[in-house]
Amino acid sequence: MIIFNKKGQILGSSITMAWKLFLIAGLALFVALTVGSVFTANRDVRPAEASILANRVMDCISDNGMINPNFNVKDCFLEDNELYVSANLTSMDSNFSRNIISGDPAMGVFCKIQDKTKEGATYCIDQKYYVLINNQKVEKGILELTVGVKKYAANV
Amino acid sequence: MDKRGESDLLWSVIQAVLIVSVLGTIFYWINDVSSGKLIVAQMDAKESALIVDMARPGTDIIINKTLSITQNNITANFGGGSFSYSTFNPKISTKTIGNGTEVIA
Repeated sequence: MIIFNKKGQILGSSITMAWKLFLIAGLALFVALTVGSVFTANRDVRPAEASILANRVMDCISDNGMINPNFNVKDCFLEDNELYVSANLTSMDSNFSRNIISGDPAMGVFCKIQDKTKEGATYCIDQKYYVLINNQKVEKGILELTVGVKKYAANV
Repeated sequence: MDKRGESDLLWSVIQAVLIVSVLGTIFYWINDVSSGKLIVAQMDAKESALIVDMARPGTDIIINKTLSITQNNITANFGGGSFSYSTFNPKISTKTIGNGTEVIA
């Protein structure tokens, strides 16, 4: 129990209270930074988005289970500088091959060099499909699909 | 203040009110944060964008949220905050239905 029976005791009590508030504010800041960094971080949906885009491209360029050799990925999705798709189709029965790239080629370079175990500026996935190519006659082939999604600011 | 006890009581009350208000604010904020309220807009926008991207052409999607969709950007609002996320689906048309949004992919 504080009794202000001398001059200056009110000032002393104010200083004590200010110190208490300072400690509480420090505690609040610590809690806010610790809890906030965990619960308010951006949720990274790029893995799901890249997978959906890969499936969409695959659906788009194939017809009745066969790939048209003149396929074009540009019609499959809305192009912007945040997305990258590279499709490399190679026939195993002939020397036919075709490589189509959509998006910023720099993202393709980044897809190759980035360490995929770490968060990077671009999230990339590589998929390989064994396909049938409708190239006058049906040929067996391999389609290598690389899909990259940048959208760094919204996800990381 | 003409009595010793009055100033004593006043300071105690001020301290108690300040401490309780600070701790109450922290508790309220942590409650909001841990229940995900601060990222509702973000999750609404991203989940809606992924649903629209995943949909096959011609699919009619009704989302039980009020969304603002311009071209290929989906914007969700919640609690004064908003978040936008872009889709790669090239053909989207939308219209508002009651408290929801109809999206034709």
